[in-house]
Amino acid sequence: MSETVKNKIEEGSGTGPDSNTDKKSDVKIVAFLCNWCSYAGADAAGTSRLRQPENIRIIRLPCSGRVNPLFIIKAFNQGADGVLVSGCHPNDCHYSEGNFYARRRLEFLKEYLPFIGIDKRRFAYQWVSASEAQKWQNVVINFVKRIEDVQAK
Amino acid sequence: MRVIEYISKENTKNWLEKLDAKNDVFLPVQDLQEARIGFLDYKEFKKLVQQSKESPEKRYVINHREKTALSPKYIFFPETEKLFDFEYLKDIENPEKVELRLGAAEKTESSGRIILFGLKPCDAEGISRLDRVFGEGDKKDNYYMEKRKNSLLISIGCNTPFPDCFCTLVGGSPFNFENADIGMVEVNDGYAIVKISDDAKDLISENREYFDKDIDKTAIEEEIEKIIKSSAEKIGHTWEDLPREEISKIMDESIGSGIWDQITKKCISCGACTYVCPTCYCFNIRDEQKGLQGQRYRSWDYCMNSYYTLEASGHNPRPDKSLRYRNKVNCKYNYNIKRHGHIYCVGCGRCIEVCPVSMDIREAVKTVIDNRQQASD
Amino acid sequence: MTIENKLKEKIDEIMGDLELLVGYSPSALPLKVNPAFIEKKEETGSLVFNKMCINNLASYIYDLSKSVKGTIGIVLKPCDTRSIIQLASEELIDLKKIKMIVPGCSGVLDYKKIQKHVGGEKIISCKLDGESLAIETISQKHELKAGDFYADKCYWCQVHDNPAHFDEFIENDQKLDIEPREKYADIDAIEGKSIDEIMQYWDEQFSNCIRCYACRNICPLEICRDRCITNLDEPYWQSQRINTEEGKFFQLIRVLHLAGRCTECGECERACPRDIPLSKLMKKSAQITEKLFEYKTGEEPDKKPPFLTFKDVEKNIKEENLS
Repeated sequence: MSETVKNKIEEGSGTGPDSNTDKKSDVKIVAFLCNWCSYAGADAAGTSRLRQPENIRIIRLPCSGRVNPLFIIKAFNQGADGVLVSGCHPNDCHYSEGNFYARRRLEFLKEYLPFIGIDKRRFAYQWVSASEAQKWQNVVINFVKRIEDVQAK
Repeated sequence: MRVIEYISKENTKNWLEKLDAKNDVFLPVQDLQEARIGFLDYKEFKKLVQQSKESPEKRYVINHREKTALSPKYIFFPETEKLFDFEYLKDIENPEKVELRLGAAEKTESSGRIILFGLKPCDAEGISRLDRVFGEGDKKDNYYMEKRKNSLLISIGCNTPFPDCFCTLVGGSPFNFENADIGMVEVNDGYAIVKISDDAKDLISENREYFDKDIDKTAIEEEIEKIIKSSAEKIGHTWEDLPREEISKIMDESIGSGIWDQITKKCISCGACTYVCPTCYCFNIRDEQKGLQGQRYRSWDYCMNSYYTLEASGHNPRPDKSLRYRNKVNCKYNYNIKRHGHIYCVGCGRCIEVCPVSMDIREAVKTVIDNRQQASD
Repeated sequence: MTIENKLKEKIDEIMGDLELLVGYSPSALPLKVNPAFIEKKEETGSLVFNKMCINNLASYIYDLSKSVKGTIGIVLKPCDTRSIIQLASEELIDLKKIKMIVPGCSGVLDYKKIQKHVGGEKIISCKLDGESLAIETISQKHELKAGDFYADKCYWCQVHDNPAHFDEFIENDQKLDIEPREKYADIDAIEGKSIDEIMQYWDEQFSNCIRCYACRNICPLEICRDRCITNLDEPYWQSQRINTEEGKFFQLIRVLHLAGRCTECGECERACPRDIPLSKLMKKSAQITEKLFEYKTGEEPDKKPPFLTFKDVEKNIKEENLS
C-alpha cells in the first residue's frame, strides 16, 4: 500500500468534537434509512444538535421496502459490527405499502441470523418518522451501546 | 511388467516421512467421519491425526484405492489464484498523471519438490493433458509451470476398478504408467515398483534403506500378471470399440443434428462435472478494485454455464444447454484431438458419479456414433 | 400387481392425451434412477417406480412448460407435488397444462446416507430384498437394514398415501413403514451450540463448496438459474472467487430467494457434489415461515406466498423498540 493511501485511511475516521462517549469506540454500524421519514428524522436530530455517537454510517434509500435482506448480510460480510434499518411507521409509508413488505422480510432475517452464526442483537429495525428527532437520538445511543456490549463478550 | 524394486507397506510410511522432510508430499486421505476423500498435504494430515487422537474412532486414513472426490489438478491449478496486485498512484501536483504499479504474485518459498503420492493412472494422465495445455506452445502459463516443473507423480495401479471407470475406452489402462514418474503396483503386502523416471531416480537411490533387498522378481511378476488380468475383467464399460481414429470426424458430423437435444434432455446445466474433471482447464479472469487498489485473479469456470459465451453485445451463441453440452463433449473428443493429439477424457468416471441426474458421457458418445451409423445406413 | 405395473397401466391409458411424459427409468449405476422423457406409447415399457426414485422430477417442469405446447404428464411422489403447487401459486406455470400422476409412496432410499455410512467409499453393487440391503464396496460387503437409510423427509412424511393434489392417484399396496423421527431435531442440535461454534460449523462445511451451482440448477423453484445475480458484474453482488466466504454468501442468496417458497424436497442437498448439508438451511427457513406467517409452502394453488403479500397487523411479529 502506498504511503499517501495508508495515511489517509488512518486519519480518516472520527473528525470533530467528541460525542457522548468519552473514549472513541470503534464499532462500525451501517444504517439503511428511508428517505422520507427516517433520513429526515436523522437530519432533524443533526440540525437540533442532539449528541449521538459517530459510529453510524448512513445509506439513504427511497423506502425501507427497498432493503434487500442481502444488503444486511453483505454489510456483515464486509466488516460491519451492527446493522440498523429504519423507515416510516406502518400505515404511514410514503409509498403506501413498502414498509409492510419490509417488516415481513426483516423479521424473517432477524430470526434467521442466529442460525448462521450472527448474534441476533447485531441487527435491528425501527420506525422513526421525520419529526421524531429525539427518538432517533435514543435509538442510535441505545443501539451503539448494545453493539459495544456484544463486542465486549 | 518388469519389477525393479519392492517396498513393504510399513516402509512406505517411513519413506514418505523422510521425503516429506525436504519436499511437499500430497496423499489421498479419507475422512471417515465426514465421509470425504481428497488429496491433502502430508504435514496437514499429521496435524489432523494428532488433533483427532482424543476421539475413540480412527478418523483419518490414507486410502489410494478409492477415487478422490476432486481430481488432483487443484494442486497445480488452484480453484482461485491471485495473478497480481495493482495500484493507481496519483500525483497531487499533477492531476493528469496517473501511474499504475503492479505487484508480482508472491512466490511460495518451497525448498523442495511437490510429490503427489497415490495417484491413479487416470489422474496422472489428466495432469499430463493439462501439461500440454499450459506448458506447450509459445505461450506458457507460468503460474502452472512454476509449480509443475519441480514436481513428481507417483502413481499406484488400480487393482479393482469401479463400475463407472472407463480408462480403457479412451486409450488408457489401470496400469498405465506412461506419464507417472514412479509407477507402483500393490501386490502381496507392499508395492512393487515397475517404473522409475530419470527425474525420480534420487527418490529411490538416496533412500535405499526402505526398499527390500533380494526380492524374488519372477514370483512378484507372476502375481502382477494375475492382478492385471482380474482388473481388466472389472472395467465397467459395455462396449469395446470407440473408433479412436474417427471419433473427431464423427463428432464434427453430429453438429447440427438434433441428436444433442435428445441426449441432454435430463441435464440441468450445472458445473459439477467440469469441476471434478481432471482435464477441464477453462478459467475466468476478473479484476476486483476498491478505491485505487485492486487484484487480478483467476478462478475455475464451467462451460455449462449459460453465461459462458455471453458477449458484450448481449448475443449468446450457445443459449441452450444442448449446445453447451455438445461443446463440452466435442472439446474432449474432437477439438483437443486436433489441437493436442489426445482425447481429453481420461475415463475416470467422476462426472458420472457426481452428476445429480446421472448424465453419462459414455452413453452420449455412443449415441452420437450409433446415430451416425443409422444416418449412413 | 406391483405399484410399478399399476403405474405403467395408468400411463398407457392416458398417454394419448399427453405430448410428453416425464418419468423414471432404470440406471446402470447402483442405487440410482434416470429421469426419462417419453413421447411415444411404445417407450413406456421402460418406466420404473421403486425405492430408488429419490429424484424430484418437478425440476424440469418450468423449462418444459415453456417449450412444450400440449399437456405434460409427470410422475411425482406425493411430497413432490408440493413443488408443482407452489409454482402454480406463484403463477409461473398453468396447472391445466400439467397432469400429475401420483403413485402412493412407500419411501425412498438416500444413496448419500448409505455412502456416508461406508466412509465415503464407492458403492459398486447393491441388492434390495424387502428390508435387507446388501451393499458392496471394493474393501468389504455390508448387510444393512433398509429402514435406517431412507431420505430424511420420509421420516416425517404425512402425505405418502394421501396427496392433496393430483390428477391421477395410484394406490400402493406397500405402505411407508418406518419409525417416525422429529423433524427439527438437527436444527435444535445446531441451535444448542454457541454463536461462535455455529459460525465455525458453517465455515467448515462451506470450505468444501466449489460453486458448481448444482443446488441452484436442480431446484424446481429456482427458475432464475440462467440469469442468476451471482454470475453478473453489473450489479456486482459477488466475487467469482471459489472459497468459504463466497460459498456461504451464495447459499444465503439462495435461502433468502427461496424464503416462503422452498418445498423442502431435499434435491439441493442430494445434488451437492461436496455433501454440504444444505437442507438444514432450508428447514430453518421453513420453520420460521410457519411460525411467523402460518404458511406452509405448496399446499394450496390459490394461497399467496407470504413475502408477496402483507397484513396491516402482524399478530406473530413482536417488534422491539430501541428508544
